[in-house]
Amino acid sequence: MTITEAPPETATVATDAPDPATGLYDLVTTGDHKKLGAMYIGLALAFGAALTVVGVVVGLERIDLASVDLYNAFDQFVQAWQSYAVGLVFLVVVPLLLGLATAVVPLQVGSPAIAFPRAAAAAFWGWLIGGGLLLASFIVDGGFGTPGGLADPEPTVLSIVSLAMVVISLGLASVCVATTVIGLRPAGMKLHRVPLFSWSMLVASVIWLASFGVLAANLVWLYVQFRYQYGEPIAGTAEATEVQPGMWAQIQWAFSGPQAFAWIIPVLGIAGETVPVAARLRQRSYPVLLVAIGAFGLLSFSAYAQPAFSRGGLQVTEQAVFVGQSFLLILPVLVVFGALADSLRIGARDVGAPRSWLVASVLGVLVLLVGVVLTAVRAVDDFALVGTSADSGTLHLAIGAGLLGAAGGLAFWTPKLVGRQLTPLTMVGALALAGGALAGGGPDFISGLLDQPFLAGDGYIADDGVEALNLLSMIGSVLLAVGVIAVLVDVVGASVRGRADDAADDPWGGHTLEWATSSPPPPSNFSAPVAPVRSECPLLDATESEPDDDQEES
Amino acid sequence: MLTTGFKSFAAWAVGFLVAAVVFGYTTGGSSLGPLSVGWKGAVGNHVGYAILLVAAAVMATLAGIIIAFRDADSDAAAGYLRVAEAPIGQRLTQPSFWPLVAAFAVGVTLVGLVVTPVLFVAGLVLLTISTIEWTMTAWADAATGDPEVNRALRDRIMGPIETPILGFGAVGILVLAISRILIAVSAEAAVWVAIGVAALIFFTAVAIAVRPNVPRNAIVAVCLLGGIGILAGGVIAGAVGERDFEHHEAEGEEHSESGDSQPGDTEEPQVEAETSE
Repeated sequence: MTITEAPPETATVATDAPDPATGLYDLVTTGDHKKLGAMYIGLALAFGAALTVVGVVVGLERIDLASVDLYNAFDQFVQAWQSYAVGLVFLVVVPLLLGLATAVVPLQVGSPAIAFPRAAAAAFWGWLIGGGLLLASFIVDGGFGTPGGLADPEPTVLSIVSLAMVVISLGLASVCVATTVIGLRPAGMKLHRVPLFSWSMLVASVIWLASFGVLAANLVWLYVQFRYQYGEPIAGTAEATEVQPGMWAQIQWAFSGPQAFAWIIPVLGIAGETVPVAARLRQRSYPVLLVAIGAFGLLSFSAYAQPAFSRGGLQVTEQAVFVGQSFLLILPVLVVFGALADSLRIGARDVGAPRSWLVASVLGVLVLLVGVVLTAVRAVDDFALVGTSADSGTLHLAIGAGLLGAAGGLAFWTPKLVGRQLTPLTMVGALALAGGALAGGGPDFISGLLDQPFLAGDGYIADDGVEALNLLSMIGSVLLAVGVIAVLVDVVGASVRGRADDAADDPWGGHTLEWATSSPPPPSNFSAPVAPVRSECPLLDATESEPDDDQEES
Repeated sequence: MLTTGFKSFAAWAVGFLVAAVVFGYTTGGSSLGPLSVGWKGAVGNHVGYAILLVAAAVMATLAGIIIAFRDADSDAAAGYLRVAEAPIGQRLTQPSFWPLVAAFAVGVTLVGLVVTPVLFVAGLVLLTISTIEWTMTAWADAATGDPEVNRALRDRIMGPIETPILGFGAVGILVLAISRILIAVSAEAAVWVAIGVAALIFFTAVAIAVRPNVPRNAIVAVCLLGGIGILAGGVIAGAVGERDFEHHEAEGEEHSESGDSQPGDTEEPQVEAETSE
C-alpha cells in the first residue's frame, strides 16, 4: 500500500530554479550556498568587530598587571580574555573561512549546489544561535572559569553547552563542504586537480571534524563534571561554585599552537589560489603544494595535548611527539611559501599594481610562517614558554594569519559573492591586520621569554620592559580591531552599493571554474553544463586551446 | 511490487536479526531468550545483542519507509506517476524553514539543560517535529522535478496529520488563554467576557458568511488579530493571577479562602505529627 494513491495532475517538468523568494523569508529559508556563505561572512565580521574591541580593553588592562583597574575583579578579566580567544576562533576566524568555503567551493568544483544544502543551512543557524548564547553567557558572568576562583553555575554551564552547539554546527558545515569536494566534482576533476582552496578546505574539514569531536567530548566531560561533581544542582540556584582547577586547561589545547594553526589551514589554499592568478601562470609543483597543505593539516592536529595525556612526569607539551610536531609544522609552510614566492618571481613583470587580495593572502602566509616558527621555539623545553604569555602570542599570530587569509579570499571572491569588487579599504585593513598580528603576537612572545605568565593578573609584578611589551601588544590589538572593522565596512559597502559597478565575470583572469560563470552566479551556479576538466587550471586550458582551434579552423 | 531498495534493507534487517539471535546463543543465551528478546530467558551478551537487534529494527524501518514511499527505485516512481520514465530529480533545494527551526530547537534544548527541564522537553518536542517535517519535505523534494507536484505530494501526506494537530493545538491554546482570562476577572465580569467573546466569534462568522466576497487575506488578518488579542489577554491574565475562589467541601460546607491555603491546612499538621513520632 502506498500513502498516495493517485498521481498528481500537474505535469512533471524538471526545473532548476527554486521558488523566487525575497527579503527576510529568503534569508531564513534559503539553502543557497552563496547566500549562506555571505551570511556567515557578514556575521563573523560583525562578531569580529565586537570581539577585537574586547581585545583592546583586555590589552589596556594588561599594560599594568599589578592591579585590576578596568574590570571589577580578576575573574572578569579572565572571562573577557576567554571570550576574546574563544570568540575570535569559533565565531570569527573559522566561520569566516567556512563561510568563504560554503560560498566558493561548490563554484570551484563546478557543482550547482553545496552537498546537503539544508544541513548547511541548519549548521549556519546552529552556529548563529549557539554563538549568540555563547556571547550572552559571557555577558552574564559565564566563561570557563578562573582556576581556583568562583563561578556562577548557570552562566558557566551555558558557556559550556553553547560552545558545544557552536562546535557541532561548525562540524556539520565542514561535512557539507568536504562532501562537496569529494562527491560533486565534474568529470575529469580528480583529487589532484582540485583547486588549492577547495583542497585546503577538504584537509581543514577533516582536521576540524577530528578536532571538533575531541572538543565536544571535552565540553560534555566539563558539563558533567561541573554540574555533578563540582557544582550543586544548578536549576534554581544562584550560588557561586568553586571552579575546578583544570576547566580552562581542558580546552586550552584548542587555543594554542600547533592546534591554533589547524583552524587556519585554508590560508595556505587561499594564497595558493591568488598568487598564480596574480603572476598569470600555472602554479609549478602543484602536487607538491597539495601534499604540503595536507601535511600542514596533519601536523597541526594536536587535540591530544591535554592534561590527561601527561605520562611519566612529562607534560604533553614536553613529550617528543608534541615537540617534533611543532618543529615539523614549519616545513610545509616553508614549502608553500617557497613555491608561491617562486611563482611571484617568475611572473613578477605581469603582477602589475598590488591587489588587496594578493597583499592580504601573501601577508597571511608570512604571519603564519612567523607563527609556526615561534610555536617551534615555544616547544623547546629549555625556554619554559608553555604557560607563559607566549601562548597568547602564538594564538594572536594564528588569528591574525587567519583574518588576513580571509580578507584576501574575500577581496578575491567578492565579485562572485555580491557581484562587486572591494575597494582599497581592504588593502588598508590587510595592512592593519598584519601589523596587529605581529605587534600583538611578537611582544607577547617576548614577554613570555621574560616569564610573564599566561593570563597574568592581580598582584603580578612584571620584569623590566614587560609593561612596554604589553603596551605594544595592546597597540597590536587596536590594529587588529581597525583591520577587521575596515574589512567589514568594505564588505558591507560592496553589498549595499548600487549595481552601477557590477564586477566582470572574471575580473582577475582566474584559473578555476568559478570564474567561468557570471558575477554573481545564477541560482544553479552555471548556465551550461561544466565541460570535463583536464588540469587544475581549466580556464587556462580553455584560453590556451583557443589559438589551436583558430589554427585548425584556418 | 517490492522495490530494489526495500529488498536491500529487508535483507539487511533479516541478516542483523539472525546475527543477533546467533550472537545471543553463542554468548550464553538460554534456549528461548534470544528468540523472545529476553522475555523468556537470557540473551547472552546484552550490549552486542542490543546493538544487532537495533540495527535490524533500523533496517526494517527503512525498508518499511521505502516500500511505503517508493523511494530509491526509479521504475517504481515512474509507475506511480504513470509516465514512461522517472522524472528528473529536482537539483536545487527549495526554501525551507525547518533548518532554522531545528537549530532553534537545539538551542532551546541546551538552554533547557541550564535553566529548567520544561524548556528542555519543549526543545526536544520541537526538535522531533522539525525532524519529521524536514524528512518529509526532503522526501517530497526528491520525488519529481516539479516543485508544485512535490509540494502537493507532501501536503497530501502531511496535511491529514498536521491539520488536526495544529487545529487541536490552536484551539487548546485559545481555550487555555480564555480560561486564564475568565478565572482572573471577577465572577460577574467572567460571564460578560464569555458572552462577549462568543458574540464576537459568532458575529464575525456571520459577517464572513453573508459577505462571501470578503478577501481571504482580510479573513486571515481578522482571525490572526483576534487570536493574538486573546493570547495576549491570556498571558496578561496569567501574570495577574487567579481571583479568590469559594471552595465547596464534600459535606457542603462553604467558606471563602485563597486557592493555595487549603492543601497546607491539611498537610502541615500531618508532617508535624510524623515528625513528632
